[in-house]
Amino acid sequence: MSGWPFQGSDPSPLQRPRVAGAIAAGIAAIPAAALVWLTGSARMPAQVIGVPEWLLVLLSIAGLAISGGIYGSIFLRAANDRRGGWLFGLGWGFLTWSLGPITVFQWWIGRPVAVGEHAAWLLAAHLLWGLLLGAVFPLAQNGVKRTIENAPSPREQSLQRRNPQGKAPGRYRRMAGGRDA
Amino acid sequence: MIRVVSWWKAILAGVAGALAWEATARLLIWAGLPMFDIVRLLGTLFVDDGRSWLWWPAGLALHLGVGALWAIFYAYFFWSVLPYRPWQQGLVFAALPALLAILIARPQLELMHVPITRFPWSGLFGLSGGWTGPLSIALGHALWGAVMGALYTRPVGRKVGSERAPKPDRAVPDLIFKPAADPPSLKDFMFATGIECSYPTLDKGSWRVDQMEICGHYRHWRRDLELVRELGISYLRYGPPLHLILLGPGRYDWSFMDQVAAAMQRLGICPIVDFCHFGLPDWLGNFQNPELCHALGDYAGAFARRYPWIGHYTPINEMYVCARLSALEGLWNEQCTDERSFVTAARHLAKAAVLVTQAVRRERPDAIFVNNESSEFYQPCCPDPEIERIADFENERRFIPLDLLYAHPPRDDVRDFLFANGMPKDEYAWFMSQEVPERTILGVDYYDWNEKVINRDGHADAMGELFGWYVITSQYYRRYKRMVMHTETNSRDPSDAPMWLWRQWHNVELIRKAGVPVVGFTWYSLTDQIDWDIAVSRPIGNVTPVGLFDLNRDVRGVGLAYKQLIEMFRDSTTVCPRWGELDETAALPPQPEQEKEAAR
Repeated sequence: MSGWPFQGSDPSPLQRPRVAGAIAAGIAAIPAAALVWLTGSARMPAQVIGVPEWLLVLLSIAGLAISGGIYGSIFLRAANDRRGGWLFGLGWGFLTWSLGPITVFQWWIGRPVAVGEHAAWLLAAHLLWGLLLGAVFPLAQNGVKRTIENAPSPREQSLQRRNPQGKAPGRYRRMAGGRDA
Repeated sequence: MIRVVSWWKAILAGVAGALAWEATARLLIWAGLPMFDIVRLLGTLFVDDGRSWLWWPAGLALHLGVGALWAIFYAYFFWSVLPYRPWQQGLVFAALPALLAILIARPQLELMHVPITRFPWSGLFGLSGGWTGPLSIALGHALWGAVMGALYTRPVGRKVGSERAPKPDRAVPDLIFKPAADPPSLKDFMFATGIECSYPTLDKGSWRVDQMEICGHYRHWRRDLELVRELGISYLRYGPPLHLILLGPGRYDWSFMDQVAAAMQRLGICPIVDFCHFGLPDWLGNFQNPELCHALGDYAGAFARRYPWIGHYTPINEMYVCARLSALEGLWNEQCTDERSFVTAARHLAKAAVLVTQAVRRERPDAIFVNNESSEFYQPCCPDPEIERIADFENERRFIPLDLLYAHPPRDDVRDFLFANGMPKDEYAWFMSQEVPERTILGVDYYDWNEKVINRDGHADAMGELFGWYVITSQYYRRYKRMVMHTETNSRDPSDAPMWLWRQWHNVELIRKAGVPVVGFTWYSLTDQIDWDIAVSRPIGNVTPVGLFDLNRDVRGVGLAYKQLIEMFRDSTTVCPRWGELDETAALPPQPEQEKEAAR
């Protein structure tokens, strides 16, 4: 096989695609969850599964954040693509919908989790989530990169641990005092 | 970035595939065959089933949209992965959306209809309603995949003649047309990178692959120049797009180069300008055309006159590689595969390099020339006299263009080979009578495929790093006795790239200690490249991850390593010798002939 698509996608030391994916997915899950909540499309799946509606929405946000982390660990630095990222995310949203509420839950409970317009809203919410995940990912990755760049180095961290107040060692203090005097 | 994708081609291919599916399905439905009606299923999500004049366009629009989206997925993730013809690749790929449509999308879309009895539900995973539905969905996808795959080809490059230079968007300062305050010198060690700028033609000169365009340099050139400075690099190997600037004899479009020159000047980047990088403007044809020599000479003179502050030039990039891949291996430009064409291309390239050098020196007598060449080495696989003869000849052939440029007489049998393949004797005499400028640097490029073994069948195969840059460069240095620069290297494995960078740098340090005056080092290139894993022999769009930055302009590990290397060595790596003062006693490895002599 030539041109394996993920060749060269290894992240650099300044990139954390899993973390960025989870953050982007968490952010993207908020409007998607709002859509499901406002259209009442969470009611039926919640009844079918036997959990309160709010709990299902919260669990879904957590599940989507994990799914976003997996997205980051598969696409790695390629998820930073400003041109194609939204499309990768859209596809991931469709895949998450196909595997999550559809395949796993239908298999588990033996019946559809939603019908009619609620089923359509459920799909729309996943597509919206995926779209936003792909679009937000590069921004989240940039935020993570800035955090890493601004973080103290391991040597600075070690010094900070050993000397939390940042005071000069005793003999230097004496020298400094002497000079002042 | 995963791959360079032609969005409009993918969208058109996906739409065409979906239209072919719908046309076939509609005809079969009208003929009374039990075809599954996907457009009706989609259209009646929004519109009442009775109003076909409404649900059909709505359903078709959705169907075409989904077809286009899947085609873009195909273009990103699947195109060119399998070694099949394009329509077969599309057909194989279509199995994925077909499975999802049968098992997931169809039953779920049926459930979305209100009332849900409008479409008989085909069960949880779409297999309870008989085989007609799944089978017709599979057939529809097969048709879509074959049409889409057949249409989505050549995602990168442009038809020759349709190339366009990027539009200038800012006024340029007059400063770019004035000479620099100081003449170019060797006071600093040149830590460099380059913008990949090859622009060969393929398919018998009908299709051009312009790396600057497909790597996004025309869109991101300002950012690219800033990235150069962010890594602490001062020297940039830069090949202005010859095919977009040199429009005809004496006709130039400097608009893009003016903008770039102004930005380089503002950022303090010292360009090493490369006049010809594996391609020619379409009006010059290919490297078999003798007119190219004077055309390039005139262009170089006009360039040096326009930008008098630029002091570093590469007349022609990698002449040997250009001649070999264009005229002997049949990959680029003229795509010839015979010795006579190779010699013709090599002669023309070398003559062009001489004329370019002379033209630039007329405008800029103090210019510095970096003549870079791919360092090659051929090792016979076994003590077979024929294999040894081939390896020996190839080890001489690699020097032909540089021999002509540097007026170094080739070995007698190689000279006879040149004469036998169409080189006029007076032209040979002209080359040998040239005076090579003193301010000339021998650029030695090195990659892990540069060392090759001649196998039993007489063909050359890359064997990785056997002797390394130090040994191969010694052979070139011993022959030409010029200052040396490591002008290109990279690694196609990004995880190994930092290690490769340091290995190359240690080679530079070692050979400097041996007495060879190395004045610069280059990681090539700034960003990833496209299709260099197949020597740009086909316009596929696969990313070759060799850059200091990827094509999203995110830094790679090797970019950070190079930045660190430059910070560590910038002040301690000095350029000791002056022009014309070379160490004749450099402690270099023995030549193969010396080894043979010692063994005897």
